[in-house]
Amino acid sequence: MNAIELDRVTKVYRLYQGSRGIVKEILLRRPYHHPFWALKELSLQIARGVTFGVIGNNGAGKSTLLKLITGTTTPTTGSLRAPGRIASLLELGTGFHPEFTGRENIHFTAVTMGISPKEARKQVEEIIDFSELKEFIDQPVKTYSSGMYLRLGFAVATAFDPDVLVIDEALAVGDQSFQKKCIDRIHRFKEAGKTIVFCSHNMYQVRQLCDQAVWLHRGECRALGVASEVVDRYSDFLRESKTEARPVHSPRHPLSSIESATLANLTGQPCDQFLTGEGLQLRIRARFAERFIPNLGVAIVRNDGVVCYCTNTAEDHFLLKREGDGIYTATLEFPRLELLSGQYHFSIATTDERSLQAYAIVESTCSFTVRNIGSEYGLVRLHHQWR
Amino acid sequence: MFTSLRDRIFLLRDLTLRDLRLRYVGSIMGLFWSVVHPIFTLLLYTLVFSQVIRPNWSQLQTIGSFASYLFAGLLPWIQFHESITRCATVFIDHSNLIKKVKFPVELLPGSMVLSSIANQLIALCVFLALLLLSYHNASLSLFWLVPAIALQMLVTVGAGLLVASSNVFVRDIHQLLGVGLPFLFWATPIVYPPASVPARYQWISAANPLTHLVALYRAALLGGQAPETAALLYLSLFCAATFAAGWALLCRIRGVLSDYV
Repeated sequence: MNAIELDRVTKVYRLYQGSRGIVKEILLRRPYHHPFWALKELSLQIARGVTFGVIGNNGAGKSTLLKLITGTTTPTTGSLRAPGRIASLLELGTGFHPEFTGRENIHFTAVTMGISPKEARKQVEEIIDFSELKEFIDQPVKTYSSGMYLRLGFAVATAFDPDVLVIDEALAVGDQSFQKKCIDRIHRFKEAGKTIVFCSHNMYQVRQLCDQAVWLHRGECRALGVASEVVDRYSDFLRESKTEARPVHSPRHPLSSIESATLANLTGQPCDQFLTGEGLQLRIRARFAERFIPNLGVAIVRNDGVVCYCTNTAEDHFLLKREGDGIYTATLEFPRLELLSGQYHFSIATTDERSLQAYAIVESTCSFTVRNIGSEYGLVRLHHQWR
Repeated sequence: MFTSLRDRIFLLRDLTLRDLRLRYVGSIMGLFWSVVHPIFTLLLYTLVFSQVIRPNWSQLQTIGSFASYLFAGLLPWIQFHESITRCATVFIDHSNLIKKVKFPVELLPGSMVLSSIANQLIALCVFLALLLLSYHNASLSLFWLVPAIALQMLVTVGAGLLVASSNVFVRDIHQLLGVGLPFLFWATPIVYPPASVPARYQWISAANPLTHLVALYRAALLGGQAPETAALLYLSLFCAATFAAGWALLCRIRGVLSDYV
């Protein structure tokens, strides 16, 4: 059973240059606006009880999607179905009127949410308790601090047993002890099998909290599915865009060159997708002029340029295998690759006998992807134990 | 959400009460102002139009009957004027609400009209008390107030929806009202008798639905002859058409309203 269904939903905002454009458009029956495509043909289903993450860069259409789900705006084309009571934690407390007391604002907010006065009355005490505003509740909310405002907003928004909770970054509000109450309440919703739609820039939070996710990019769906996978793909993309793609150069050094490098798993099958903890082999063929003591240096680099690990054959006292005619081979094996989710590649160099001077260098070769299951986050898995 | 009519009624009631309270929040005399305001307006007009400017009020001899006559016209006008002016900005003023929750937005102009009607009813009661004390006995003609108020609400809500919806897109509407409404006021026989309009301008007076609304109020409050059936029919049709137009416009923009406020 789906809590929310979007079928090829498109949202186009019309950007006018002032009212004049609108009037011209009505009178002359010709468009006088720039269309802005906030969402393009987005289809997704959110099953009941799922915590669903929405990620993407600024301007990707995340808030448009949340607004559509909340129902405050409607799709330009396509259809959206979201039965059930939806509580929005976006812009908490903005519906309050400063001249009215906290109690009056609770009632009014409830009524705007379509809650009957009777049901609202039942919850009022609980809301006041939760917001910890007992002694201020009969004061106009204009006298409240911004923290008190948010506390009341959170308490009201979550009080009326919603079926769907729409949350953005501001997951928790107020001081630390109140933040804990907010998070606890959200977890209780999750445990009670409510649907939660959660929009955040914090990839760690999305990985932790969400079952499924969508990655939006300029209004289009780039990835949709299991949250950790979507987060990983988005993280790859973020790191990628931070560094300019460097050209893969393999200069023909007169004395040495790298002939080939291939990736495989432990059984020797070519492979470029690994899970954390799986094994990886890198096979290298290189050419050296005869008067060298051949050595190789290898680096694993993440796609944002972070060097994860470097080693070389001189350090490890390994002698390359000679295959005649100046060709040498070596296989570097990582029996357990402890890298976490991300996109990585190798940089390989032929070096002098002490591995100080690099001759031929091949950068950004043998790209591979690592995925880890579970909520570990970061660069590498460090061996650890809890006592 | 908002599947039942009951939920809508609750919201309409709360919006109206909230608006009524907001008008007088922090003031000492509170709701009393809704009595003071029309009475002072009435006094002022009575003073000016009986002592300074003197139109030809042939059938009205005393100042008292003149005041009643004036009041029966001013009462619906004040309400109409106030509702329309406030409706023009009602969506923009409540943008935080419209952007945040999904709710039947037509209740916003609806509550503006209701709260000003409520104000009018208070003034009307005061007026009726004075009227019954000084001149008339209770007359059956007072029952004309029921269709009068109903039609007035219909046309005000309709016009309110029209200006509220269009002002979101073209903010000049609000300014235009500031110019247009005084024009409408003087085109309606409120401070002058309908008979004093020159023959070649009579058609304006006849085409103006407010003329007939004011006539209906006068028939109700001052007794005398019942309004003509044709005029009543015209008024009813106009009110219904205005409401239909307002509703149709709102339905067209409802989906994108929150994108523009």
